[in-house]
Amino acid sequence: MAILFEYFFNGAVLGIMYALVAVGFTLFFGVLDVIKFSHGDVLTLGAFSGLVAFLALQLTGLDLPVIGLVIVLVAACIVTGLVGAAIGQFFVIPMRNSSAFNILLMTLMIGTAIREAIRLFYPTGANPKAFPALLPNSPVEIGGVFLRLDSLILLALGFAIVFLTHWLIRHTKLGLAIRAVAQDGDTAQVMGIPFKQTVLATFALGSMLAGIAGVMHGIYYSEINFGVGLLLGIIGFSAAVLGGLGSIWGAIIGGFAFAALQTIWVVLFPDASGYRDVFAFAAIIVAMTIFPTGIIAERYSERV
Amino acid sequence: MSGTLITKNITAAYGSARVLSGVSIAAKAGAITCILGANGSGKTSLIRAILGLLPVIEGEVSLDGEALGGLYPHARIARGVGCVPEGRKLFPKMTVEENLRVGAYLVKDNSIVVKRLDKVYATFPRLAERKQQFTGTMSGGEQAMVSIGRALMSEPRILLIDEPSLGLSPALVRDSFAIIREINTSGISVLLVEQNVRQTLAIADYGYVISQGTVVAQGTSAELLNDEEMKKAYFGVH
Repeated sequence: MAILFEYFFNGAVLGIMYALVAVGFTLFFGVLDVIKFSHGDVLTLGAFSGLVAFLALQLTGLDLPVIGLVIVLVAACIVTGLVGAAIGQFFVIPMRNSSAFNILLMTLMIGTAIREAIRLFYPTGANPKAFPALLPNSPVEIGGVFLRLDSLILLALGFAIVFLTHWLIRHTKLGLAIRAVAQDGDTAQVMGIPFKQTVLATFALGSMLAGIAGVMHGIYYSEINFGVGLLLGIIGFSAAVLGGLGSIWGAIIGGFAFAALQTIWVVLFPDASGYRDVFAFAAIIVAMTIFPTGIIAERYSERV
Repeated sequence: MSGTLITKNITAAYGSARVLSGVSIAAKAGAITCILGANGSGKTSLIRAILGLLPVIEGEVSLDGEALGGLYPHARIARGVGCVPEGRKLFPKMTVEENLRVGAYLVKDNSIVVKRLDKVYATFPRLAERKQQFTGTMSGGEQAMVSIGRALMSEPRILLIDEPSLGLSPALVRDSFAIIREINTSGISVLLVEQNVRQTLAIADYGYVISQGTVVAQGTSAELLNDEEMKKAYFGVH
């Protein structure tokens, strides 16, 4: 029983990370009907920016645990936010009237360029890099189950970010603009909403979520590598599609559903845990044939 | 009195399909000016060109002497153009109040937004009862009120109204036209695009008739109303 709870808990930590990535996909699709496949590599960039910020902080000799985490997260958010908005400004928006396949291919190439740039320009970038333990990883006992404190904090942090994002979309003026553009871009403009700024802000917001997910992933596995965003991007995209592209709650549910599938496999076949992604993706394929429009079809959901 | 909108020789196209050729109209301050024409004659294209949603190849658009050409749509709204789009175009998954707030997006000061909300609720008490209802679940008449209220939230100098009668029952069409007249009386110029000739000319001061992207007739309402040839040619009214 205790071991099952541990599996459940670890699945939840993965789920919230996938959800953060998936929300980005859903936001981009919401405002501009585009699939931005560079999203996963922007996540990698966020994780590496966090690492660089940490190393720089170490050089200054300051070693404050909480401040360290905040600075790493802020660095990741600034870099991913700027890069996400730049990709929107210089590549996606100029191409928005071309075919969806062009944008798909273009962002796929941008992602590849980012990934290769990290591999080539980061010192020994082809090797995995140790990610600093920014959170205390001492075990805590909850009802006879031992959990890692850092994982608990990551889970709480992830939920806090998700709720903050939801609050921003629902209750701020920027959120109102994002929802208006998502529901009807032309009408939003003739009501006085600056279209381009709103789209770029959305790209920055979604990319920051990926940056945070990248740092969380680094802390959780204690290492990062240049290709981490490739799989996370595909998982996030699958989660967003499974949840019904365009719906925030759908993306979150999709993220947890993917992690649940992985966890179920590991619980059932602990000796073949390496196949968990094969199982999860196969299950997604089956799910897509049953729910072609995702779990929360757009008709029933609030777009963004 | 301000709110004079002038288009000078506007030409616009979707790709290679020309939808407006050399359209010149003047919507005078304080007046109701109407654009009449059959389906596909270019009325909505003219509105889209004025709003900046349809790029203008040639010609000028100006409001009270200030050129609007080249400005983004939101910047034109900031300069005093308001819009009730064809088919009302509400944000269906937002509440009434959120729709109205979108209309005042450019107003920074929330206390001003609240004042304007109160004003719209005073004009349309029915909306006050339904502030939290999603507009996608409302009746056509209620949606028409939200769409007009939303446009008023930016306190425009001129209001462009595109086919307010579309999809409404005759009684609701009468109500809508009465509201348009009221809005005009309160000092806002109106540019009204319609297919509904008689009711439109009954409230308009001046009108233009558009066919195939050009102005084919213009005059005061009385002049157009008696222009039998025009009516036969474009609307089949006998």
